[in-house]
Amino acid sequence: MMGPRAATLVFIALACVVAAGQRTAPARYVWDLPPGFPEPKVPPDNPMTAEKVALGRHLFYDPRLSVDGTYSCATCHRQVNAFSDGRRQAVGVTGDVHPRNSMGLTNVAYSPVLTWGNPTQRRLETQALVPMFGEQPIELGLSGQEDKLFARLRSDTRYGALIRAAFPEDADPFTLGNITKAIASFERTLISGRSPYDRFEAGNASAMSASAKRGLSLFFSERTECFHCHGGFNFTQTVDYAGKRFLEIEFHNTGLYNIDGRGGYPSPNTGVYALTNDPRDMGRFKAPTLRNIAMTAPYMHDGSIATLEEVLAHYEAGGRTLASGPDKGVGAASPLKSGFVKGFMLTPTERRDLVDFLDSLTDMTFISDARFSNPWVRQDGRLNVFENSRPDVRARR
Amino acid sequence: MRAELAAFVSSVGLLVVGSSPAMRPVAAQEADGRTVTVRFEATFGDVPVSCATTYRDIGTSRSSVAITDFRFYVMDVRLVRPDGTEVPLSLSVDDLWQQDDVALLDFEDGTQRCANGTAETRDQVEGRAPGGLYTGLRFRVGVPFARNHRDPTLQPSPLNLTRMFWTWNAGYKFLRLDLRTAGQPQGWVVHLGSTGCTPNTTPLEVPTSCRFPNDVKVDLSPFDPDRDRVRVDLRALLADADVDVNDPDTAAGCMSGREDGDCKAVFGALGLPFGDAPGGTQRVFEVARRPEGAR
Repeated sequence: MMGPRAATLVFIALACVVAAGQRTAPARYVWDLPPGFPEPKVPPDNPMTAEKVALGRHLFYDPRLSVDGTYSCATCHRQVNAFSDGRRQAVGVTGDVHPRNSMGLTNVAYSPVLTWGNPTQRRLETQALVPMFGEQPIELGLSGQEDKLFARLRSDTRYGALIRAAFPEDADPFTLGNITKAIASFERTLISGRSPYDRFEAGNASAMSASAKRGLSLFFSERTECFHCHGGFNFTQTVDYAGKRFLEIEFHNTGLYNIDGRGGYPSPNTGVYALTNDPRDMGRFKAPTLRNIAMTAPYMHDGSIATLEEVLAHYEAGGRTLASGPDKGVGAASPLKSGFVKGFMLTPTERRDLVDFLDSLTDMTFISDARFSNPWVRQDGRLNVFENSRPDVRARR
Repeated sequence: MRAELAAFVSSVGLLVVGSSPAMRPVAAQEADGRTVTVRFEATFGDVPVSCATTYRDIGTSRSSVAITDFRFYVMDVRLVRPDGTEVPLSLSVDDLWQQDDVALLDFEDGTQRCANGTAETRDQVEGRAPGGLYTGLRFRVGVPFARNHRDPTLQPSPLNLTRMFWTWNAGYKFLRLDLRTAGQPQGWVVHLGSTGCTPNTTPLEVPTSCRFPNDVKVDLSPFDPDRDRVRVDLRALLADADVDVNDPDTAAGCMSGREDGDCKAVFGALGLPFGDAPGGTQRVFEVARRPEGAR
């Protein structure tokens, strides 16, 4: 037990002493970015550090961040699903069914606006408070539980070391602001850009199949118009990064619903309208990144489309028609629909080509990257979250 | 250092001048001023609010209800002189219940059904005002706009209570009343806060305005702060509401949604516009008159 772990601790301790003694600025955080990716924009009050990322990763995967110790961020944001959950709609710790499909977190660092359709959510730090403390629906169920949450975290000696390393200047670093800063820092590292498409773009002509290459041409064509809302290195028009001066945020009504002939979406999933109460914002949602899209089924803000083929059918029709049920209506006739959702015809081969192209955006290294995995998993595969005793103390006894 | 000190002194000087209508030395102001404690009571009719009590004949369905939470923020507290002029109550900052521009009232004690609450309760707002006679009280239920949309983890008490966060809507719940009712045992709630907030066009910033601020304006007269109390009557808040049913496909009770039919009666009682109703005078806060000489 006194092997590499103890040596590392000593080294870190020494490094801290040296750093404190010299009062040098913290080392510049080194991003491990895919070729061609810009550096993410980071809020000035929460600069990236490896220590914050390490703390945030532990918090992200820690079920003690839910009211009954059963849910963590990772319950609805699973690495194997590119940090979505595979469900049609998320389910909270008390059984509340979320009106929304869990968004994947691929490249969330580049998103200037968070969640499916909330123009006021601009910071991962504050967005994290929604699943933690939200009550409509209840997700992690921590509203009013903050004292218990901190007691739980303080009781685990491992957190003492992690949080002091992450926030060395705080007399008492166990604060809600530090928790959300750390989680946000970890989330900003969830960067994915090593898909077959990226290798193809880098010059490896055989990285993509012929079908996927044909699909790429279709994707970037005026016939399908896909790229208008899913363009750029992140395949979502709404993107931000360090050094970008303009703020661009787009929301689109894709004609998924038209329940009243006036473009209405079923409550409570009314998109930006739910925030602004501006009728023009009815049904406007964010275009998610298409990176790793094959791993984040089902699709759309409410998970109402099961497969990529059916998503294409929705856009081929220029908006979905629901023939029956409470949400019936002809989406293609919505007066609020984006002008780019105009419909198009695909042959079965072309449909296959487009799906193959979307599959080529799957980055297998992302879902297997150990840096993004659950740090609480022991070598035998079991979780050690609730084993609170400090290993080095136990060894000395 | 010298320049900083000078700037500090001059800003203090400005503050003193700015907050001193009579332009008199601070010491004299203090001597003339007095502590004013505005006392509140929360009731269903004449029965005090408690986490242990069930209340009957509430709302249009004459339901039985119990509270699981009841708190609200007040701001912009003013005392009214007999001649009608207003004097702001300068809130004392205790970093627990009050900051200089907002105070929390808390009528749950964390017991029984209110288990998600806090043990501490609060039924008064404290501050200082110039000496003299006051015959009226005005305040608003809400959180000042400049504070309402900041990162709540960076805000001081009482704005750091997660139960009052309304993060999805980029603000706070101004008032939260959580009920269990005969017909809605899982919960029928009133969560009041600003909606229709216009996002800023610059990065990392917060809303610039809200179409529906939903702060409640209270104007009580005659009100003697040395004797009377402000009664917040939840029976009156719910008088026109049916707390046994929930408008389908909307939040449980009224969470301030413009499409939520359950909000119509509640907003009406609070004097807030809703749908076609223009809003008017609130009917929930009233003067609880105390016998002469009583506190």
